[in-house]
Amino acid sequence: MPIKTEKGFQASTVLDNKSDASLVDQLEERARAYLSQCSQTLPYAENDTTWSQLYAATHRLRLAVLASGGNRIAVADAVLEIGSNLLGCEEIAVLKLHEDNPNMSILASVGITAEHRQALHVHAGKIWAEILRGQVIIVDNSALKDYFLANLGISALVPLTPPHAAKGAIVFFNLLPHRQGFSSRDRELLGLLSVYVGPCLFGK
Amino acid sequence: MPTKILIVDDSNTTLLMEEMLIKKYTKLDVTLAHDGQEAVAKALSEHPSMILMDVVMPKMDGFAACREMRRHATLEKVPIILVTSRGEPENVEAGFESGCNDYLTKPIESHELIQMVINYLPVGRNH
Repeated sequence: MPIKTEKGFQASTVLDNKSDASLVDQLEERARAYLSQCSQTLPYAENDTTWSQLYAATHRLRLAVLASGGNRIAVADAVLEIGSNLLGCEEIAVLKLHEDNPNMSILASVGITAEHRQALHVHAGKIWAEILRGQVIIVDNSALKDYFLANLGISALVPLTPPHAAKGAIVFFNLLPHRQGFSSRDRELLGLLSVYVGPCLFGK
Repeated sequence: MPTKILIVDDSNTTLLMEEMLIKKYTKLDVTLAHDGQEAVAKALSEHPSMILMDVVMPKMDGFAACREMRRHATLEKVPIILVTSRGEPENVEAGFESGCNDYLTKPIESHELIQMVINYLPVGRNH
């Protein structure tokens, strides 16, 4: 599946080596903690898959930061790979919010259609406002409160929040046919992405 | 000699998860490959007792790699499990036609993965 990375992404997102080293340490610590949780989990327990997914995602982000050498393309690719392999979604966009106006750019994407791009462009202001609330949203297609996002074909909206305000987001559109929707287990993984991908992409 | 499993996927995320679970639940040695070509080469040189392989990969996909492996007498009877996000009937059928023994669908569930491995390699069981 072709992964699309937007032009200009590399030049505008170079972080310094010190930030990278700190991030790598944090991710390594988290990955080790998840591995420990997994090793303590009883065989075939429900949360066994959860811990192993969190371990794999954290370790994968760590490898991406290490491989990136300050260039964030590897991190964005890792996010798309995690979404595809651990969440069963092959229609994903990684967004960067503009700082001075309620707009956003697509940093990297996989599987999204012209209609998805159009929706992100036309409704940028409203999506921007949803992202700035700073909460992971798993869209409930039957809930009135989620009507706007559901109508755009969005399954989940994950704000990327370096400590203070959101600087970007991951938008998950349609899930693969055999997935009925995001589960509570997926919420753990989406929460992890919300906390760690922001610093990896945009710095602290 | 320890029994070995070959895990093949172009996604490091999947490799990390599958390797970790297999090491947790079995006594199997693990070897990794990132595409179909590398998988065929490693299967021929390292003689795994089982192969867990993604379908959509660069260079050579899982179906082609499976067919290629089955052409070699040493790999004719090695259990091959295809792992894919595409679980539609036509893909499953294409997998069996290429010579695989079984199918797993992504996202992987730990108990499904381990049950599948133990079904084909009961000797590797850890718990």
